[in-house]
Amino acid sequence: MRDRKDAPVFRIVTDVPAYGGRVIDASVLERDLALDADVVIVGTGAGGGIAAETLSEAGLSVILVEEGPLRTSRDFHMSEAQAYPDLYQDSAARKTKDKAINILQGRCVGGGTTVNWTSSFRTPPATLAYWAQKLHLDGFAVEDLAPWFARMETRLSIGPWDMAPNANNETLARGAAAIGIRTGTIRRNVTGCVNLGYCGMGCPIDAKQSMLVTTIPAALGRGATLVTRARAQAFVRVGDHVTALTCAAMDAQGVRPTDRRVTLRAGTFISAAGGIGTPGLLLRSRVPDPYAVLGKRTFLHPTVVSAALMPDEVAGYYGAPQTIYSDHFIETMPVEGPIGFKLEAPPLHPVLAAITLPNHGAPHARWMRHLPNLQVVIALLRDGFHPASPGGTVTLSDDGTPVLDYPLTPYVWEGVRRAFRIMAEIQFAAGAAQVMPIHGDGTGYREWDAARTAIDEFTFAPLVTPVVSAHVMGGCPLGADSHHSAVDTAGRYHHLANLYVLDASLFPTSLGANPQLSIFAIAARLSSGLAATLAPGAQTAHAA
Amino acid sequence: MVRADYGPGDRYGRLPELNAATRYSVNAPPIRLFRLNGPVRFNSQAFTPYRGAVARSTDCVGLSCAVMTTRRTFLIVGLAGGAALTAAYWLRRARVRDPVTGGHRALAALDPAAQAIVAAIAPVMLDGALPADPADRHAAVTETVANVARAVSGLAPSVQKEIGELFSLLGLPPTRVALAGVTTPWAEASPEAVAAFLERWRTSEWMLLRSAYDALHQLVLAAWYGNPRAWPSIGYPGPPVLA
Repeated sequence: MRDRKDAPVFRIVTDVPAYGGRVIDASVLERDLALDADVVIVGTGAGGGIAAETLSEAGLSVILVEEGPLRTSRDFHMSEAQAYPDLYQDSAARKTKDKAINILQGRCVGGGTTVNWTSSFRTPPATLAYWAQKLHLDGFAVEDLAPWFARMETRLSIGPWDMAPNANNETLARGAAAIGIRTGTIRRNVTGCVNLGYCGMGCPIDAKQSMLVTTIPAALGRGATLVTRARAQAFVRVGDHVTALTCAAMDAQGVRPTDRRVTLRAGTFISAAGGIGTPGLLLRSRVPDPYAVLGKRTFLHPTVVSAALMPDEVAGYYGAPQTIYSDHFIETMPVEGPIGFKLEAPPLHPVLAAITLPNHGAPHARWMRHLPNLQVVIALLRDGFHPASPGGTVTLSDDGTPVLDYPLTPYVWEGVRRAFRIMAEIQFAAGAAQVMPIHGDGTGYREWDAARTAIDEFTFAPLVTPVVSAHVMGGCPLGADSHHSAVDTAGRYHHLANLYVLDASLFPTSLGANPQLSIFAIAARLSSGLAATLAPGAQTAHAA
Repeated sequence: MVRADYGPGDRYGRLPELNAATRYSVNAPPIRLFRLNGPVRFNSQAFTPYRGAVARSTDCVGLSCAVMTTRRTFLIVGLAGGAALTAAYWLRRARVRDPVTGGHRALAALDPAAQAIVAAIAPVMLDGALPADPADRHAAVTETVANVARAVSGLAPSVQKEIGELFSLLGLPPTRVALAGVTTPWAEASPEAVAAFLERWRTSEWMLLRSAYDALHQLVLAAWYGNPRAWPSIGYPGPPVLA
């Protein structure tokens, strides 16, 4: 039995980046607040953070508004019980409408970048080719985006990860190699990372180069204002111009709006509230949507899970959570064919493991007792390319909050079956003593043949086969044609003069890769374009 | 910005080396257990539409009686629709006064009846996980109930309302008997009766009951395994110590 004395000890010297500048916690406002700026940005995640830096650098005054709290490394204690309610949307238990998919989404300053597992991939070429050829999206080819990827990789210290993968990831590499499937090493946005493994609870040593420690402090240093614990309610319009954003101050726990209101006025507005958040805000604002595209085609990378018991200790709770991946079933599957999937490994902390393992009582406890030997592979399915994969739809519930209806279709389940097969095969090839595809009552299998036979006979159904997601994309897609897209190729909402969208909701399909670097690069490019038109002197320069 | 100094006695600092060299030799010939299948082919048979009934799934057990119950359930709730849920919720609200007491605000998210339900469910949900010593076990259940209440208090109002409706449904005797199959008040329910209820909802044909099971699963298991008291028995040494 292992206990506290077995926990590793690190000697850390850290300087928390000072959160100077103007930060307003709306939960403690004593009266309503009104502020003016050149640009108002809703959301402080990958899109909003990059936009804030770009626009403030161009000399524009910026207000960032965030529904979640400002928490920094001083508040990050590697505790699931503390982190999930504090830093995640709906306490890390956001669900789709029928409750069949659990969505991990950040809700704090830095958004998903504060709590993600640091995986940094450029958008896969096949995805960009599909956008260009099938969706006629100009200017987003590999060569168009390459300089923006390079710029973001430099800005956020994205590079190869030189430490050895933890055993959880190494098992994926070894099992895949044994059956002839290529794996790669995941690039990460870290500096001075000591391989703790608690990225999902906020980096306690500021190694992760999230928006929280990079672009947002930079923007604040240039005079930007950050309003936290304020929920963007609606854009106020006069004709085709947005004139203001109304926000409700939230209580200290971030659960209920208080009576205080925050009104933000600006010449330009950017929605960067993420998939679900941005379409929700636009729907609440009743912006013109003549072709009813808002909220449609929202994608999740529906993800399924395979657990294994290894003969040796894995300790999947320690060490960088995601360092090995396989794109074999992304690269060998045509995007428009049966659904492809990316293989990765997740961190294995007690709460995440406990809520993921199916069933309860003795069978559940038996697997939990083996937590140190638990190994887990996940398959992230690439949705949104095949006609049978239209994704989900964001609508507003009675209280005005957005909800995503994402039907799990036979097209998705077919991929789930293939994913379960291959994950089990990889785990057995790596020497697993038992493999449990996370489905039904959670039966474990001791041999590959038995597992394969069982998987072939699984009857998949919502809430029988747990499906999770950490990547919400789409709902406000880019495109030149307003019949099928919500924003133009500059990121401007088609039907309004001064409203832009700069987040993952822009993507017209899923990506087939963890999205943060794609969001960084596209937000950097579009916000640079915006800065060029808005920056002081830009008009004059054009006139001259 | 950050400097890390691995102390000489730091076992974790050696972990990468342990991984790469000691535990699994990266250069060793791959363990080849199975034939290489090559790229997995698309199987059109797999596209046959899902037939819906979980009860037909071969991996569900103990369904013969559950199917009957869930059919009845379906009729009951199907006929009354959301009205039954709402009525149960408001009846419960009217019967139980909000126990907002100083110092226990989080617990207020679960009324005493709901707390009794969680206290009845938790030992069964956590069978095999709780400490054996009666005093420790009692403390574990008490803390789990408090942690569930705290978790509920942090959820969005719409989700809190749904969870309130779920506990109302479970708490009112007619729906407790009809939907959960538990014939005694929760505080008197036998572990077998609670286990049968959980199994019935877990394997229900009706998605709403499966989602309710999932909510209980997530709340109770997160409440226990987020508690450091649970960690020694699962071999989790806790987070690293930053000194």
